[in-house]
Amino acid sequence: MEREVQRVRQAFLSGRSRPLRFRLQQLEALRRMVQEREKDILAAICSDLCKSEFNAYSQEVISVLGEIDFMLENLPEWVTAKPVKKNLLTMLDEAYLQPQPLGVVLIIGAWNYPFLLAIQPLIGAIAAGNAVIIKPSELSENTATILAKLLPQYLDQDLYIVINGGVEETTELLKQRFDHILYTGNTTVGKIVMEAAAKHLTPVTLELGGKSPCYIDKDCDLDIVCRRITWGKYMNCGQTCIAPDYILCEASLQNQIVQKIKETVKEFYGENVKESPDYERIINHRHFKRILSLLEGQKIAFGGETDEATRYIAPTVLTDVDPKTKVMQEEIFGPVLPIVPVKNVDEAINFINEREKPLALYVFSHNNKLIKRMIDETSSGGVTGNDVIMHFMLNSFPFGGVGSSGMGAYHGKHTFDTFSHQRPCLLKSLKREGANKLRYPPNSQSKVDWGKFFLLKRFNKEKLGLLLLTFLGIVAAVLVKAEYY
Amino acid sequence: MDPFEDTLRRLRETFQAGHTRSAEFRAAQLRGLGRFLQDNKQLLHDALAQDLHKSAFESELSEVAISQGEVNLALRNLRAWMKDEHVPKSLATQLDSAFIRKEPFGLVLIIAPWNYPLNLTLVPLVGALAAGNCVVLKPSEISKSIEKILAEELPRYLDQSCFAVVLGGPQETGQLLEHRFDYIFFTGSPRVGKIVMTAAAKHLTPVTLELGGKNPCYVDDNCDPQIVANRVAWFRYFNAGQTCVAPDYLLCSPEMQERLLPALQSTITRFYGDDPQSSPNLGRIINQKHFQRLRALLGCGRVAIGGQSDEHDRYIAPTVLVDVQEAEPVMQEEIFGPILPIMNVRGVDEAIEFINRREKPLALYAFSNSSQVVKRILAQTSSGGFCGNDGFMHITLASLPFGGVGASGIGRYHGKFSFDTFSHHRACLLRSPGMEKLNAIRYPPHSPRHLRKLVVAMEARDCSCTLL
Repeated sequence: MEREVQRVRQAFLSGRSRPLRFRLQQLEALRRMVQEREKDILAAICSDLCKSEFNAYSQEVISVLGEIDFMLENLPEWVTAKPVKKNLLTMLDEAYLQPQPLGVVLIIGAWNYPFLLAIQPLIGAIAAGNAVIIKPSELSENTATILAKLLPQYLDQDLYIVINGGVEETTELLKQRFDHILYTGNTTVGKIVMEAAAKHLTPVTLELGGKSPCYIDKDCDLDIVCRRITWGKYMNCGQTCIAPDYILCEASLQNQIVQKIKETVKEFYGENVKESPDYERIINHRHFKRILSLLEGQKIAFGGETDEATRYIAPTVLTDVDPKTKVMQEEIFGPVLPIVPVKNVDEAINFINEREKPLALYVFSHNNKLIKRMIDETSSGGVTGNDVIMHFMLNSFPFGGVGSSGMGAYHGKHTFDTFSHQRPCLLKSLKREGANKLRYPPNSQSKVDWGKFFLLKRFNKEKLGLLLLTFLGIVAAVLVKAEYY
Repeated sequence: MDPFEDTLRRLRETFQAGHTRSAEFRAAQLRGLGRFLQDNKQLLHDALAQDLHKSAFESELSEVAISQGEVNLALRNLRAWMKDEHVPKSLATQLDSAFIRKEPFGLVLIIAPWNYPLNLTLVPLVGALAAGNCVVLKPSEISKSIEKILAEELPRYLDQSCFAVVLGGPQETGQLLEHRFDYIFFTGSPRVGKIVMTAAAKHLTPVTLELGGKNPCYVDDNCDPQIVANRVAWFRYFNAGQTCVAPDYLLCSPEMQERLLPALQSTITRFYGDDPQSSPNLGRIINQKHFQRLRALLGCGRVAIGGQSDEHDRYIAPTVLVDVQEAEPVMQEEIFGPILPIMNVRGVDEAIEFINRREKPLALYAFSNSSQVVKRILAQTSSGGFCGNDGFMHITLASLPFGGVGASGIGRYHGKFSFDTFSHHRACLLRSPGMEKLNAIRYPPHSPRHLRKLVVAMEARDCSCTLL
């Protein structure tokens, strides 16, 4: 393990991941990989999650391609130095922010969108000029295998590598030193990753989870609301970090909601959901059993059918759920949707705030004031109003959690920024030493006053200010030279 | 008996109740901070003189004025910073409202150091308050006089339902760190930085760590040694060298060293007189422990300039060491004192290689008449910040972020960067409840026709995202 990481570090130190042209080439190669080997990639995802080709393509591959194209288009601009506003003291100098690579980045992927969650961070890490080690989730075995097979065929073999393995290998890997770690997964392991990172003072981005609440107001079009919720909840068989985890609504709405979700499920997946090619399966038996146990003692409004052999769990809705029961104690990550009745939006807000900050928050209402209030009085990683999932799709948004749902963010330029050090640079000249005499000891009160003037003084009108600044700067330099030389 | 339990609960309740959310409340807090600085200026100067023998010049410029500047900047820009930031939208979200909401994290812990005890406490505090958080401040127990003022006077100027000062040493700080915070801002050594981050990991608390390291200062043959000596000496001996961004050691050729030594001597004499110990412009070492540590470093290499020390006064003369070996203690730890070792290198390449063999520093300096040399060092090294042809001037520009990289730290602040550091950037997408037809493409059952439509829609996008 140590040798592998050393090899990657040596490759980074050679400097070849830094030039813009190299980064663009690697990104183009990655794009070719995704296009040329689409069949293999889709087959791997499909066999891991019993996913249809359409779903694998539209949920994972399309986003990856979009992200690569976005990077290719914008990277030349992002790598350039950005000048910043100067003050009186630095007027004649160059002051800018220069993005630089961090070094060796570790990306630990998750099993629910195994291709997307490994490759999307990779794209930004390459764009930022780093070397990368990917550790895909071992639970999505086939995707892990295909990544290990394909990456070296298209990308630089020493700069970007895949290391596969289970808990033991990951623990070993985490003992090594990295320059940034991006981890997608659960809260428990998130803590372990951050603790390991602390030993080396490695910055981390943790994309975790939680129970994403979904509040349905009585002032809304339930038909549309239930279609959107059904789509977001049961996609990937509920195994989505930003799936609406549970519903909060007034008791009087429950029956209608149940009915409409039931109808939508039929529309989406047919009479016999098990036979729909668009409906996925639970990743493994452990999670299958876990989700099953959440159903104990619950009022199943519809669904609830399971088949252990195929790890099938039907789209399920629970009503009148007691907040103290197990299904409301952990992130469900499955096709089970509890409805917890609340009296009104006040109670809903309190309910949400008594719990850990979730990764996503959803609110459905025609009343914009209510939506605004929901946002103002709660916190979460992100919010989508009147829909679910969609804020993930806009890459001008930073995507990440807060509190126990995570720290840091990525997507689009935010990935580039996450994996870069934005280095502040001030370039002065060795000339005009006369002006510096103001700051050198021996000091006096007037030097203090002048010093404060140059540090703090501001001017209101930009252009006038600049002219005045120049004039004052010259006057000051002359004065100083005369008085203190 | 947990001494912090009640305080933390009180602050959390205030935060939960939403008191800190309004711009008016935050502005009032910031104005209070401003008044604290103005009302207590003499008191603060005296305390800084007591703790670190800081001159009025140093106290005013590097502590009071900097803090005041940040308060003013935050007050002027608060509403603009707080505004929801609208973001570019995709084809699918054209009719929606897409913005980033800046939210306070909640309960913030700021742990401050002793070397600029006012500045490094108040500047982060400005950011945390401006961002709407409740704050627990843990000033350094080592700078006792300032600690006292911060504990006794500062709370009177702020709303105490959302602000508290806690006191104590390493043991109390350890106890404090067992509690859950929503953000921790720490300034100090890398060793303690690791302890803070490990404690934060238990609660998944995000952190900013402003640490340190050995800041290299490369001096090219192509420059005027007197000018370089002026600039390097000023930044090295400011606050008796106890500055995280001070040039820690010099890298230059033996020829340049020969020219620099007399120049440095001349500068030091001009700055501090023939007897620097009697100059009001030179600080003192904070305590006996650090004094002893620094005095031991005087034994490394050979003293070319200075080298005197006085235990009673915790005084160490502005010193330059030569003939230093890399393995000696003065090149193994951050000096944090008025001692400047000179290491010889034969040119820029060797200097770059020397720098890159070591941990990434908080600051990096390069002096040369050739902008090519300066830019080359910039391009081939990494550090928190960089200044060409001067010392830490870059940290006086609020439009530049201040922070480390690698072992020198995580995160950044100053000006708007402070506000952003102490805010959660929450992505908010408000969709219209109508336009359901557009969504039809994402719903099952799926068919090849759907896929073709999707691919076409993807090609017609403005920014990358799917139509799903």
